[in-house]
Amino acid sequence: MTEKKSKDVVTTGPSAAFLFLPNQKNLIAPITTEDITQDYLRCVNCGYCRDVCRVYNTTFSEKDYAGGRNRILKSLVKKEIPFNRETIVDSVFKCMLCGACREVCPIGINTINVFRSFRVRAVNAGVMPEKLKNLRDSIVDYANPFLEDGTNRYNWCKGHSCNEGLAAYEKGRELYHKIESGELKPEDVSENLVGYFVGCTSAFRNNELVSATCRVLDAMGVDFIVFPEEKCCGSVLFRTGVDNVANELMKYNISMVKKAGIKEVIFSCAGCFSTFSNEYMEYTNNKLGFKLSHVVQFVPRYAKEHNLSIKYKLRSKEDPLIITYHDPCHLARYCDVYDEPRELISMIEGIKLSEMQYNKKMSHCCGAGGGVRALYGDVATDIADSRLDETVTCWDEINEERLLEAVETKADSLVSACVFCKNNLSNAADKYKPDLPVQDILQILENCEIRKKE
Amino acid sequence: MRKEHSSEKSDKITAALIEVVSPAHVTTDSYEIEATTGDLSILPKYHYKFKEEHIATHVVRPKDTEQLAKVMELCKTYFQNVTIRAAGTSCYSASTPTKGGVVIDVRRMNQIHEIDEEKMIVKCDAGISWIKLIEALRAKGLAPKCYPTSYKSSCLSGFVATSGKAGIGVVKYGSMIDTLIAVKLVKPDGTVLRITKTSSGELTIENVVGSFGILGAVAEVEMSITTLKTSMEFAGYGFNTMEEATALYRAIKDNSVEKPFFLSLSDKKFEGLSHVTIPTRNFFVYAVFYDNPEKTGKAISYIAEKAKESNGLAIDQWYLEEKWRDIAETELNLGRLCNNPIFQEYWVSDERITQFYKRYATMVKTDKYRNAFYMIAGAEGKSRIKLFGLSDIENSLEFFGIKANFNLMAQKSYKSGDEIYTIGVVNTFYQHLFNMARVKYMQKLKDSVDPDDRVNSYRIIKTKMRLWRVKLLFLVAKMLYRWT
Repeated sequence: MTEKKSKDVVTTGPSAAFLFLPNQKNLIAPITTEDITQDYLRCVNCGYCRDVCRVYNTTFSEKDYAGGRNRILKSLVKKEIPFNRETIVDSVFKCMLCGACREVCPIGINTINVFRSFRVRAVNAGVMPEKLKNLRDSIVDYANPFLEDGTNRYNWCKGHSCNEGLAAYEKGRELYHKIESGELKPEDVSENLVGYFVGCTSAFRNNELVSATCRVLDAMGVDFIVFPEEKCCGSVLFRTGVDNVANELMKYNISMVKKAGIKEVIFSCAGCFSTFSNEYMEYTNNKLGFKLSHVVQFVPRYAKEHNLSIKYKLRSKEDPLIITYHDPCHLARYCDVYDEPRELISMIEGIKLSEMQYNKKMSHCCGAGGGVRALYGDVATDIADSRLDETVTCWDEINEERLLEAVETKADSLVSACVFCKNNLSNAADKYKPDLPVQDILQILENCEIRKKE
Repeated sequence: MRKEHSSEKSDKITAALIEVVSPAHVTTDSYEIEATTGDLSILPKYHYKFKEEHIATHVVRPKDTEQLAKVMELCKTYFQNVTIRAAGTSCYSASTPTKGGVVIDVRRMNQIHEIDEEKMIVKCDAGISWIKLIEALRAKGLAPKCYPTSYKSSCLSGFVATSGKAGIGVVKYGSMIDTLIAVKLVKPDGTVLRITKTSSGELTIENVVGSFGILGAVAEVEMSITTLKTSMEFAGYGFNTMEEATALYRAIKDNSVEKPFFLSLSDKKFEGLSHVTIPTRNFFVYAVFYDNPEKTGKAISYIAEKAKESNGLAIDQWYLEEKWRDIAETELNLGRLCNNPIFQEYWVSDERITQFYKRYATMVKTDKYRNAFYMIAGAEGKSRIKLFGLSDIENSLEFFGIKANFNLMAQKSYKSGDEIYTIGVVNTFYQHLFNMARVKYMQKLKDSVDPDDRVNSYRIIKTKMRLWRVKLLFLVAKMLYRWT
């Protein structure tokens, strides 16, 4: 544990990172446009989005943050600059859709929706990066973005590599079989049975996460199945504007869950969770018909309900592992999940949380979102590296009081709850900071002893 | 439609710039040039974007003073005009290309070189944003002495180049020029000059501050800083008349015992255009004190006493605290109700505030557009008054009618001894109408460092618009607006 006590810091207010939030209740609601694609016209060019934009802070290009992009869009609409098929790709796709700019916009432009809608328009007009075309084709042909044969989706649990997962998969198959044969009606399926939606990345690339999830759920005594006929949730397609394909996958997955009579679906993938919570919810007018929980929400709730204690086996209460939590955009700004992961971490004996300066709503994106990892790999790695830099000066206590006493801490490990964040940050760590372990919270939980409190 | 720039000469310049900087930071991409061309202004685009032939051909982003100097030298070699761009938040075209050529964007120059906690000095690149500097200093229990209310988006070099006379901390600690210890200036020929407070060579700090980049690019800044304080207290009072409000405003500003960290005076309309619940009276004086508890406590008691003398009504603390949280957005918030609010900023002697306001009140009584008045305290016994008109370029008669009013106010202000606060490109013609002495002085300096007038042209010494055209435009606009 590396801990450096600095002198007490007295400040005029919250960390400048939080000064960005224009959250006053007494402000008049801004004028809005009905057509979301026109919302950029309301941009007042304040430039707040520039300083929070991780892409801008890597490239320093005025066209790479929301305000600059808005200026280009305005000029394009007025035909003041020529439409350039190649250049427009950068303007539209070199954005992680992380939503930091939406948080700071003083007039409340929903930048995520605006730029996503422009991606849809670009794709519909045939303007699409080549790599994205490959991704789309893979999902269309194989229902996953990795050009993997669909039959390989459950390889992670076959061959006894994860017995807990295999059991849940078999249980899932049995459930569907019973329902299809009429032996069991969906409405008669137990309320306590939860469905685990694995997601493509964990299923095909990050098997360690799906295995960890199954082991943790099993150790907690959760009654769960793995959906045996899962398809890509469509997240990457929604993010990159290929809505028509994504919509078909959405309909399929909703129907798949409903068919099994599952009342709660849990996710270890923040991208899948966000897609179900936003796009799927919107499509069904908030009547999805089943509850959604990410594991960082499910585990602490279940542990409390069942009086479980969680103890990290590799360290002790007296000598805890100092971790810092990276808020994934998909969980945080997209779904407002801020407190539950922190609550979960605080429940684990032998783990201590130390916050990076930019956390929660103002958390810096890892760099992987919105297709940037796939389309602009170097930019994504540079952004991840700058996020890793923040782990050196974490703060034990950041509050919004006027007087703040802070202790600077170096984190032993960076923990997230999103497979894309983990991969992109790990990638940067391998390259630039090999001494800093990057883990998913499930990998911490997998190394925990979970039992009934005495 | 803009023509793609692809001449042989341009390619040569591109190659030469790339050699100095790097391929990633030299571009001729028309979209990037478009995004880099105008100010980040709430004002409509016509205000800051000039004819096609004035648009830049290159954008280059040096990472440090050495690269900046080489780029500047290279532009001289290739006879390229140069526009220096920092955060681009002046609103009056301070960073807009006016003669084509190369835009040098200094935002990549954002390093803090040294924080000397003993001498209380920070040395940093001039392209660093205020918010980043504030954060870095804060981690050490330190803070800049003064900074603009636009600190969330602006950067140091802009505050230096545009004079930095009004803002947060200015009344308490002095303006930017008082805070500066030295600047590194890259002259138009690429030579680097370190200018200190005591420099008496070809350029002084006084010459550089407020020079709008015509003498070169501010590359590095060395300035004095202060410690974070332990107490922040707020005072706010409502008044029925501007005279009463001004009396308290001036009493606060002139109080030698404890100066405010921030001080403003606004009318009810300004508060009402962005807030649901607002102070009931017509004028609102707002003061923030930031020091140790004893000092701030004394200041608050002093104000309470003075406010009583002026018949002031105390405003709820929650409003005052929220206003501080909102301080950077307070002007931007008018954009919540209007896409293109128009405004003009005046630099008015504290003695003439009521006189200025009377003139303004008479004007807006006749022309019934949505308007607002907001003033923040500055250095030199002056205040920055900002007049707003909530119109839209789509309603051109009203839009230009309001601008004509602002012009009238500007002319009368100059005649009374006051002036426009931000000059940029757009307001330069006022200098030529009313302040030829400064124009001539700056022309002399300009001739010595940039005889070809390549760098940041059309600021201070040369007007972009012909004076007779501006006058005619405003006359016609006023007549048409009144007539309709």
